[in-house]
Formats: sequence, C-alpha cells, structure tokens
Amino acid sequence: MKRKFVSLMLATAMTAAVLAGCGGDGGDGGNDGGSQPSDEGTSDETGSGDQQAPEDEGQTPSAGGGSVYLLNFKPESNDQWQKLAETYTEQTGVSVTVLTAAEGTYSQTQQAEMAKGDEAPTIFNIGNATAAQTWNDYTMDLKDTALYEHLTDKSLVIEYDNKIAGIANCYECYGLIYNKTILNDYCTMDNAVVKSVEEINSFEKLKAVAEDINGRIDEINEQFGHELTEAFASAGLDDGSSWRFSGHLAGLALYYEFLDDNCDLVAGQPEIKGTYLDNYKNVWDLYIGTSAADPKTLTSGTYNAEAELGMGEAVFYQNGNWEYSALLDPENGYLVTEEDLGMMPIYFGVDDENMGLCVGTENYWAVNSQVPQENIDATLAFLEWVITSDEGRDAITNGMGLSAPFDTFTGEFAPSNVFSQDSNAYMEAGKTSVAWSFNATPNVDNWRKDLVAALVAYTEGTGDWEAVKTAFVDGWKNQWQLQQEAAEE
Amino acid sequence: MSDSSLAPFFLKYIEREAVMEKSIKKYFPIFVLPTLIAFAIGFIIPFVYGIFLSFCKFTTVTDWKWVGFKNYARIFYVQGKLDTTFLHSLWYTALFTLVSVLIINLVSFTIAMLLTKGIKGTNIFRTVFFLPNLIGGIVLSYIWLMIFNSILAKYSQTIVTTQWHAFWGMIAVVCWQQIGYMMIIYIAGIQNVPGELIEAAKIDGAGFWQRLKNVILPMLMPTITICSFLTLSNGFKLFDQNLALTGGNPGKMSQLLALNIYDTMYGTTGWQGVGQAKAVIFFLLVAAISLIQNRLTTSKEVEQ
Amino acid sequence: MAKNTKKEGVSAVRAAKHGWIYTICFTVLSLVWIAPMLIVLLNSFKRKAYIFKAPFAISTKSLADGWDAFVSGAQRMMCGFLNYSNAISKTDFFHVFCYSLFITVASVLVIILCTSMCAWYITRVRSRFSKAMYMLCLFSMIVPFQMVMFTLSKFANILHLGNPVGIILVYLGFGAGLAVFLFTGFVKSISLEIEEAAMIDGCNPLQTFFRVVFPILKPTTITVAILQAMWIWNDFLLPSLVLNINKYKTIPIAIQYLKQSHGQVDWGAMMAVLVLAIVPIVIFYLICQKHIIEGVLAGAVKG
Repeated sequence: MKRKFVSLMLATAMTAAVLAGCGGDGGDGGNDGGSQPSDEGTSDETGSGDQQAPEDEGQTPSAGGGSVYLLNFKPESNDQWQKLAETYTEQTGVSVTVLTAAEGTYSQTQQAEMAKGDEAPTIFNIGNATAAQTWNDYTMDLKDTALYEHLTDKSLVIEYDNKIAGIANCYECYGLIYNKTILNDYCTMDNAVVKSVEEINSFEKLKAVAEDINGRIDEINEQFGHELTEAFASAGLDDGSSWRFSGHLAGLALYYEFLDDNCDLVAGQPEIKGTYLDNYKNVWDLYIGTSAADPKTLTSGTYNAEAELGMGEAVFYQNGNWEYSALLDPENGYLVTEEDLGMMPIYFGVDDENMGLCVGTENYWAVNSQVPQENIDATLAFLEWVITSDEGRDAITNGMGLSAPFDTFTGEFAPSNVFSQDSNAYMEAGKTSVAWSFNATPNVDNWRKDLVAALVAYTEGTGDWEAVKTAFVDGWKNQWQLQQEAAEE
Repeated sequence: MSDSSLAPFFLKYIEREAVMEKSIKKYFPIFVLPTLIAFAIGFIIPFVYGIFLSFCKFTTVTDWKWVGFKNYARIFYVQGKLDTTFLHSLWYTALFTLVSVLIINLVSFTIAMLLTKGIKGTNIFRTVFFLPNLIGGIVLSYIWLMIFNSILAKYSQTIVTTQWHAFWGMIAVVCWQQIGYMMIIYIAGIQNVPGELIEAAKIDGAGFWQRLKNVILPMLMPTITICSFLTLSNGFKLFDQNLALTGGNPGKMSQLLALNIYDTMYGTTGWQGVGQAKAVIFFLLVAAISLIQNRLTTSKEVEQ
Repeated sequence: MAKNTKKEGVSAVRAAKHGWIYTICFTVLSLVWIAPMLIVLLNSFKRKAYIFKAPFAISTKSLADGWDAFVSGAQRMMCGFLNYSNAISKTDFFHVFCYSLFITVASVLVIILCTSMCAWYITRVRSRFSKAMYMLCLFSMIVPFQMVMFTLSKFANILHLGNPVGIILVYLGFGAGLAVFLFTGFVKSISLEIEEAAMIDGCNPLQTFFRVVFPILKPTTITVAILQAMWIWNDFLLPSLVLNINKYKTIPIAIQYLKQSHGQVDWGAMMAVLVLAIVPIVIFYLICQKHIIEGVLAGAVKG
C-alpha cells in the first residue's frame, strides 16, 4: 500500500510538472513581446533536458536597452561569430545573439525568425536583388552608416528601391584552383605545351595543357614521383557539387552576355539569349574530358573533387577561395601545402587576355528596419565594432578566412588567403574581375535543377546540347516570369 | 453485458456510472487539458490554419493575403501552360505505391507461410527480417545509396541515372524495410487460421494450391487488408527515403508527392501557398484511401 | 482425438524431413538481409578513397599475391577508427545522441501519461466534448504531416518550442491521435466494477486512475511506447523543421546535414555515423525483441 501511495504521489507530481510545463509554454508566446529578442542561440550547448536554461538567458538584461540578433548565413563561421558575440557582450554589456542556419536552410530559418516581430533578427543576410525585393519591407537604408563609409568598393552593395539594402561583408573569388608544384614540374618537361604557368592565359592554352597532362600522367608520375590520376578534378553533378557548374561556371556565360547587353551585371535581365553557351560547352567538355571520373557516374555523389586536388591526384579544380581552409585543414589530411596552391581565371574563350578571377559575394548584411530603434542603434554600433576593432577584424580575416571589403582591413588584417592574394594580383595587373552574374538567377534552385538535369543527360550521352540550351535560355525566361508574378501579387 | 431482464439492476448501474462520471468530470484540467492544449498546438490549429493558408499568398504565417483558388490553379497551370510536375509526381507515386504494395505483400506472405512450418531457427530468421524496420528512413537510405552507387559504378550508372533507377532503388529500400514488419503481421494471421480447417481440406484431398486458395487466403482476408493498406499508406507518404536516396533527381523526375510538396514549399520563393494547396490535395488523397480502408475492414468484420 | 494427434505427428515428421533445406535457404536469405549493414560496418573502417572503388574488398591486394602483400594491402585500405573520430567530431555525435535519446524518452513518457489519462476521461465521461475529441483523434491519424508541416513549424517557432523540451509538446500534440485511439480501445474493455470499488473506497479519480486503471493498461502502454519511440527516434522532417537545428540536432538530422557547406559528402564519416546510428537500435532490439514485435503487431492490427 505504501509503495502504491508513493507511486501515486510520483505520478501526481509528474502530472503537475507537465501541466506547469504546458502552461508556461502556452503563455510564452503572449507575454514575451517586450523582452530580449530570441532566447535561443546565445549560449553553447548546455546539455539536454535543462528546462530552466532558456528562461534564464531570456531574462539577462542588457545595459543599453538595445540588443543585437545576427542571423548568420555561413555555417562554417558559426563558432567565430559566437565568440565575437561573447566578447562584445563582455566589453559593452550589449546582448548579442547569433543564430546560424544549417546549410540549405537559410531562407527557411529566415522566414521563421523574421516573423517574430520585435524579436526578429536585427541583422540578416540577403544574397541578391531578388532577396532584397522579397525582404524590401524589412531592409533599412544603410547609406548613412559607418559601414558604408568604410566600404572600399562601393559597388559591393545591393541597391533596391532607392536604398542601400545590403552591404557586402566579405567578398569571395572563384576560378581554377591549381596545384602549382605539379604544374611547374610539368612545365619543365620536354615537349611541354607551356614553359611556365604564366603562359596559360587563354582557353586554348589551358585546353592544350590539360589534355597534354592527361595524356602523359604515367610519365609525369614516373619523372616527379607524383600520384596524379587526372588533369581536372571530377566534375560531380550530385547536389553537393553541381552548383559549381550550374551556378559558378554558368555565371561566366551570363556575365559576358550581360556585358554585351549593358545591363546590371549582378541584377540581370528578364530574358537571355545564351550567346556564350558554346564557350560554356567547351569548358565543360574540357572538365569531363580530362578527368578520371566516369562521366556517366557524375551524379553518384561518390567523387570528392576537393580530396582529389588535396591528395595531389588532380592538377585543376574549379572552386573558390573558401576552399583555402578546407584544403589546408590538418584534420583533412591532405598532402597539398600553402605553397602548392594557386588560382587562375576560368579562361572562357571570350576576352581571355583581360580576364581576372570571378569576384563577388552572396553575403550582404541587411539591417532589419522593423525592430525597435534601440535595437537598430545597437546593431549598427555592433557592426561598426566588428569591422574596426582588433577582435572583429582578427575573427573575420584570420578566424573565418574571409576577405572583407572595408578600408579598415589593412596590415595584419589583410587577407591571408593565397587565393584572395592571387585575386588581388590579377586586379593589380589590370585584369578585369568577373562579376558574380549568377546572383541574378531567378528562382535559383529550380533553374539550376533543370539545367543540371539537362547537363547530366548531355554528359551521360542520353541527351543533346540543345536541351541544355533550352534549360538555360527558356528556363531563365520562365523562372523570371514566375518570380515576377510571385512578387507582384 | 446488459440483459433487459435485469432492468432494475441495470438502472442502478447507470446511476452509479453517472455519479462516477460527475466526479471524474471535475478533474478535466488534469486529465484532458495537457493533451488538449498540445493537440491544439500540434494538430488542430495548424490543420485549420493550413487549409486557410492554401487560399492565401504568404511567406510567413503572419503576412498572408487572400488569393482564392489561385494556388490550386497554379498547381496545374503555370504561365498559361499545363505544368506536369505535380501530375508526374502523382502518377509516379501511384505506380511506386502499387509496385511496393504488391512486392512487399507477396514476399512477406511467402516468408510468413514458410516460417510457420516449424522450421528450425524460425525465431532467429524472424528477428533478422524484422530488424531493418527499426532503422529510420534516412539511415536506411544512406546505407543503400552507398551500396547501389558502388555496384552501379561498375556499369557506368548511378541511382539517379534515370527515374527508373531511382524508382527501383526506392522499391528495394522500402521492401527491405517493410517486409519484416508485414511478415510479422502475416505470421500472426496465419497462426490464427484453425489447424482443423487445413487438416479437413487435406483429408478431402485438396492440394497445396487449393488449400491456399480456398482455405488459407479467405481466412486471411482481414490480415491482407491490414497489410495492403499499411503498405499503401506508407508508399503514399514516403518522404525520408526519397529525400536521402535520390533527392528527387534526375531533375524532379523521382519526386514522390511528399517531396514535391516540400520542394514547392521551401524551394521556390513566393510559392508557399501553392505548396500548401498541394498539401491539401495530398491530404484529400490520403484521407480517401483511409476511408476506403475503413469501409473494407469494417465490412469484412461484419462478414465474419 | 487420438487420430488428430497422430496426424500432427506425421506432419511434424514431414516438416522435419524437409526442414533442413528450408533452414539452409533461410540462413542464406538472412545473411543477405543483414549484408547491407555488414557492408557498411566493413566500409566504416576503410579510407574514404576505397569505399566506392572497392566496397566489398578488405585489401588492395588479393590473397593470390601472397599473405604479406595481402596484409600490407589491408593496412593501406583500412584506417582503423579514423572515420569514427571524424564522424564524431563532425556531427558532434555525443550531443546529437543525447538529444535524440532525451527527446524520444521524454516525449514517449509524456505521451503515455497524458494520453492515457485523456483516453480514460473521454471514455468514462460521455459528453459531446468526449465524442468530438475522440473523432478528432481518429481524424488526425489520417492527416499526412505535409498538411500541417508549414503551419506547425511556424507556430512552434513563435511559441519557442524549437528546443528539446519544447518539441515534446509538439510530439504530444501530433502523436496524441494514435495514442488516445489505442488507449481508448483498451479502456472500453475494462469493467467498471473495479473502478467503482476504488471510488467507493474513497479514492478520487486521480487515485483511481493511477492505482487501478493505469496498471491494467500496461499492454497498451507498451504498444504505445514502442510505436511512438520508433516514430520519434527515426523522425526526420518534424524535428528538422521545428528544432533550432543550429543548436539541437537529432541523429537523422545530423546524418542528413553531414553534407557540408560548399562541399561533397565525406563518405568515410558517413559510414561511421551510420554504424553509430544502427548499433544502439540493434542492441535495444535484441534486448526487448519480444515486446517490440508484440507492440508493433498490436498497433498494426488496431490501427
């Protein structure tokens, strides 16, 4: 009987706890309105089952009244941002929350978080003009901010609806990452197509070199002791890799067309003609023709192009400067060192002698105009601190490995990334950086998906190039119209 | 339980029940409220609001704008042209469901028949066959993705070379997952068939196929109905395996309905309304199937 | 009767005669059945590069090249627990595992407690509300998750349910239908007499429920626990939409998100994390096999 009574008491206690829990949860939504923005994300994992933790965090008052909530776009820089937020809070007492959306879920998270009214993010990412259009009600004009003042290249903004809706917080570059050591070794060989890397300055040269290397792999391996298997790293068409071609490589074809048509290079136009699709095809054929990967299995997701370059199996690998940290990360165990790495333009056969790397960004800070004024003030102060303080600049340059487009990043805060340095070298040599025209892509996921499907069919030999053209040109027009329709209603 | 000849007793019984009911009623907040609140948050409100939103254009739940049936029209007609994406995934799903129902039921029934013969090691076999069912769709799919792609690579193919590769790949995964589960149900059903009936048929000189057709299958009808509809509804609602194994590739050709809805909802800006409208249609389809199931099972029960 | 026994004896002999053929067939089939898991286990110890090049091999050299070559080939191909350490650090596996475990166990306990009480109430109190509640629960069982996916995840966000504690409420709400249905079915079959006796002895309804009714419900409790645990442990879409994924991942989410930013899948880590995900399930299954199979069976037949 006694035992039964105890168990009854236990059960009652549990019921009460559950009831209290439900009551608390139900009430949260109602009376939370005036408190700190989002109690999630400020602290690191505190372990599971700690019911009190979120409440406590929520009640920590900040000194100035305003608080900052950054919805971070780059999953790989989450730790750095969390640390920065802590430092700032320690120094100023202003609470800074950083929430990072997982890869591929940013817009989803953004939609959820932005719906939170006063507790919505104060800083969020917009990637292109379309996003600026979507979030037009929320973006404040950043024209009179310190951020804009410090911006070195005033074109690195998103202008929409007569306001500076977003300011780039970093710029990135992509091109052909190459293994300097192997390429230099090749140049010393008899009958090499070129005698130095600098001689590769056009698509024809690139093609000749890549094909020659691919044909003499055993010879190269024997002579220099490399473990080369291919000239170009596999061009994976699985979802984890296809964006390199449907996005970045396609961006080149778009760029030259936009240039011809004199339209905004990163905002694009409703219809395209696909003028440079033949060049696109040539480069693509080169990628798959000088790679060891079976063109018919590129969709399998079993290739790892990064590893191929990292292990010295491939000479060329189309990707961006964000690969720098992954290629040199000791945990990955790659064989390449900093001295081995370089980046050259993806020679496209259009204006090769003036071509530089593709420089741009998908990362623009936008400040939420719908949050209370004290939060906006706190946010702008925080952003200024990030780009002027030693801690902020160190975190961005050395911690996240980014190149920031602000005049405060000089000396020890200049980019350490060899690829960014290459990019600067090309600019200094008077080459024109290629803008990120793929940012103009309407309904980007859908357009790319159709393009990749056609590209796969072409590559596997089950479809022809015409289908790629159709997906590229007609798909663009369709998706543009759909996007317009969706925005207008 | 109650007999009309015991009317006075019965009356008292009802009275007592009423007293009890009254005292329980006072405890409503403890007994029902937690579930009710959660149920409202987790189901009732999202469901009703979901139907409402299917007639709206929205990006978050608070900024809706009424657009009537436009979302529904948009599922099929885009820019004045017929859009076949949804229809494709509809018939692809239907075919997938049909094939998976047939294979799973045939195989699991066969295994169940053999495993009720008293073979040595039956328990171990049963344990092994049931095991994959406990592993979730995401984990299962990555196991098979690795196996499929490493085998297909030898033939210069991948699991997403064509939509039919994807189709049979997903069939293999759901079969591996569900055969054990259905087998358990069939075994229970077969064990419920009275042994005397089969013996009697044997004495009458009925061969194995005759016994199967005339005795075992008719007796198993309720079990067959249950298994068919379980597999049917599993096939229709399949999502995890689709997402992890093929991701809808090539293009959107291997998108089953659930993934198609997810893709519309989160993949295209401004199309959340259309996604929600697709979800409503999806719900109506699943509801129709369930209602038919209910009809069939209850009518079968009456027959017995 | 005697004849019957004899008949059975004969058929048993016959079954035994052919039995070994079946046993062999089924042994082979069983091995095929678990082969995928064994292949994953094998590959989880291989270097990334060899997983797709030679998924079924254990060495780069064949035995025909001599034992020493074979062993050195195996050493080249295998990398010990490297994939495991990679996988654990990449997915933060211990945290992820704890979140999965906590969410599953807590949700199941809450579901059992709340829905059994609710089911008893709506069976014993015959009112319009009870009837409506029961019908709604039935109805909720046929609604696919996609129908409420968007709105549910948004409401959960607004109510701050995106943490392991909050999601319990979501699971209680979305899982209530089946649980209430199963419990109601059982409560209906319990005779009133016992409960009345308890009430007459002075128990209030709460005491009556926990002392008398709840123990009787045990078989259904096990069924509900197993069905819900299997669902919640393996669920991907709901937690991926509701949870604040940045902070809290469950095992299926962590696996799906092993695809990194701007990158391709690390198949070595993937193999390892798959093994880590399967092992606890297999152990749990082998321990509670009987309950699991019975629970699933009961749930299927009633549902």
